[in-house]
Amino acid sequence: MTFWCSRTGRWSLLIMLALICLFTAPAAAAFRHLTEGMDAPDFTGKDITSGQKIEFSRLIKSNLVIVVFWSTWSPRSLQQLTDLKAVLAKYEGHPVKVVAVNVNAPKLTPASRALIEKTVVDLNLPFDVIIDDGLKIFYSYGVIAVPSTAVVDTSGAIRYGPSGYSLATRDIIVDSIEMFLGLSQPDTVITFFRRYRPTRRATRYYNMAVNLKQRGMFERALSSLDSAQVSDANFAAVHSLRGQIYLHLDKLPEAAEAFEASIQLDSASVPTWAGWGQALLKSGQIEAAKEKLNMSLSIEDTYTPALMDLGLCWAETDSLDHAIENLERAAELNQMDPQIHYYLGRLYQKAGDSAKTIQSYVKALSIHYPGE
Amino acid sequence: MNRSVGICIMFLALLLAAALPKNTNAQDASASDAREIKKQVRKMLKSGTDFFDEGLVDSATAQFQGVLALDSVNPDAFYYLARVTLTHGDSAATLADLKEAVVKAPRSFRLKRFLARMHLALNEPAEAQKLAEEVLMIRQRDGEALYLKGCALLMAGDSAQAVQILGQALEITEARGKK
Repeated sequence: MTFWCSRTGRWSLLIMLALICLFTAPAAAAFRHLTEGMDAPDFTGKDITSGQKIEFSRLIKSNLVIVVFWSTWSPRSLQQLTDLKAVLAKYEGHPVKVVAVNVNAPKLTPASRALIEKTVVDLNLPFDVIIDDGLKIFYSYGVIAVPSTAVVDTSGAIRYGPSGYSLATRDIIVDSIEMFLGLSQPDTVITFFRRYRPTRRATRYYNMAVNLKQRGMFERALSSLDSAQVSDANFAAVHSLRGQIYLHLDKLPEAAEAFEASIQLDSASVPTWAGWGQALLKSGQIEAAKEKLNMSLSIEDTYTPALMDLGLCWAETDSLDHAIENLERAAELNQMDPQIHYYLGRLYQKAGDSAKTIQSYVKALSIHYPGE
Repeated sequence: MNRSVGICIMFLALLLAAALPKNTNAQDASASDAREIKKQVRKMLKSGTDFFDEGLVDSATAQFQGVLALDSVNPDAFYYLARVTLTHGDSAATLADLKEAVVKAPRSFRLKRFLARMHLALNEPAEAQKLAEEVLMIRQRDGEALYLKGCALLMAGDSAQAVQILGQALEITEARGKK
């Protein structure tokens, strides 16, 4: 910690940040457990306008598929949908499909369903729009901000997965289409195709570990990760997921060690920097935690778990305004994460704002218990 | 006299011996029937919920009514029938269905929570709070019941207690999520 606080440490940190930004800026991360190169989870749904069944596994057989997680409460979502409409028009007749997955809420009221339908009509969207009932697709991808995008190629692998939406995102989506259609050469376009792609065997073990973790079978998940590591020693996400499991088990030194190992293999992994930061936050190393979380946010400034934890770091140092600011931004980017609203509520309570406390608590609980 | 008594006893013993295995068979048959009914109920509930998820409300209703024909106090069938009523947007009718269901299946927490929710939707916080508290009497760490109680308190204007109860509901829910 003292190293980072020293003048040399600060310069080293700045140089590292600059290098990361220079070489890896487009390789962002929208999803908790998925990185570029990994298989996109399958899903089905019904198109909101035609009622036609949409099967993702069928679409990717012969198309580049752009999956967009959007909501009516996110202005950037609407901007992205409008832009995608123009992008798609440019490549009409080519094997490029867009599926817009609405993630407004776990359960929709008739009023919110009507609003979604109206938005689709108003925007005159020329692509499939489905409603993610119960947010099953949202959780299977591990979306951390809205909008989020997954550009999936015909092998089913995620080629690009940014969270949030900026002009750079739009450009990279266009580049990925050009590249897929053979209209651009790999060396003339952005760097995302350089991302490491793990072996299929290692990916299988990794996916198994994700499932086991979600079912609370941590020991078996760790053992599956050992097998993944044997199959592919350079698969950074294996170490990162191991770190997440140790975090869950409150084995903080082991978690930090696993995240560090992951960073050595892939210094551009947003969830890994964030996980490392969280491990340090939990173990009370607030300044070191801030540094790791800032690393994460310097690569992807919409990564909500990092924003949330950075807010909690500020709360630990009694900078309540900074803390609330970070959590409010996280809540704005991902209204469907109950944990963000929970901590935000606690901070509002600490600040003595009971109206906002109630609002945040009710929001968090309404996500946990959406009702019938 | 003794001889005739002996014959009678022998006769009765023979009758008893013949009756005993039949009695066991009857018990077996009734247990097997009960198992068969349970199996049938499970099957119908599964296909009913599948129909419901597909939006085939009429087919779902037929399955749930079929369940009630076999098991007249089945709480799951009541629950889904109330959800079917709710899909028609009629909160008052859903409330009436649920009230009747809670009388028939008073031990179902799910029905009580659903009923509490409907009372809240109809701006009746006192009834909602009472139902939430009934659930909490038995299940003190029921996060959803605490949430509904918090909402009822909020609706009734008791913000101070609402914050406390909602905070408690979240602590419990978040702790459960971490496991």
